[in-house]
Amino acid sequence: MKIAIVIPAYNESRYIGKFLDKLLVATKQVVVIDDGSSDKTCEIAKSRGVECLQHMVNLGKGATLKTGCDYAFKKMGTDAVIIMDGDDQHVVDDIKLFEKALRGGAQVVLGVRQMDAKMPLMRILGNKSMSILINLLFGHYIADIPSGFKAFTKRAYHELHWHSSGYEVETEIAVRIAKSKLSYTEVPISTVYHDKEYGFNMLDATKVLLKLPYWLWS
Amino acid sequence: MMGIQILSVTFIFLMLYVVRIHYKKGELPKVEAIFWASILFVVGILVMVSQSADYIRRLFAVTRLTDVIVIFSFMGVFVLLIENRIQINKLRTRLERLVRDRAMDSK
Repeated sequence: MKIAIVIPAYNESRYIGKFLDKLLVATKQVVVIDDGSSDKTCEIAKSRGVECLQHMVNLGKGATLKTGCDYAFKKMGTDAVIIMDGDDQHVVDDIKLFEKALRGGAQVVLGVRQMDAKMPLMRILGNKSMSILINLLFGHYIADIPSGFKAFTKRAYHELHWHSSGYEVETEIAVRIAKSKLSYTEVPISTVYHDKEYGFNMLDATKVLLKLPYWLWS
Repeated sequence: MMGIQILSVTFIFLMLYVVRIHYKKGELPKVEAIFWASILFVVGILVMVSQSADYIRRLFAVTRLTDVIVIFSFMGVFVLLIENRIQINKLRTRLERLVRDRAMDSK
């Protein structure tokens, strides 16, 4: 099974080089999608010999993931993709857990971060509330919905086919997994937090809540 | 002239000015500029000479002309809201497709 790593990145020049140096030891099948960064994210990726696709303008994480997955499946000819954030939050060794699950027949593999003292309290509360809400509405408890470390097979990607272009994509993917008949598994992952105010914020959470009824009935 | 009439007429003049500015900048087609100016002109007449609209008031069986204006305004606002939302969604989809295709084709 051919597996590629897809890394969506937006203004990640601070961490992407360090992260790619560690990642390239484990695999060379890597593609970075620069979502219209104003810094040198793409130049840094290219300097490591990694393929980098650039959006002319910032579209958001959902659209960036679609570009990365389309490129991996259509142009690289992979059977599955593992998605990792470009801010060096994820531990490269955890890739083995995803590969093992994919080779074991899982269509979707979701990384679950440990909700311990290292995770900011507001994020723990937000994550738990969203998981409970999705469980109530769709009947599946997905432990860590906003986690950016996940994997899909080609079939699962075409079945999930999300529409969100921003950060709300993580919740839409969770909803689509819950509504589909795809087999999914969760694996525990380690996480390093560099910046507590970075990423998913209250505005994104509001957008998710407003879109839930649409996802429920669509 | 009542306070509400002064306020309405001031608002109409302000909006006519806005329409003129956008027309001069080429951001509003001539036909659309005439359409909005005509609407504002008619509303201005109705506000200034409210008794002239007694026929319309009786036609819709309402006691006040303001009610007719408010109902039609809400209808207009909803049409514009839905139309804007559809156009924004269309543009967003087209832009996303264009940017994503160009990123992939450049490799």
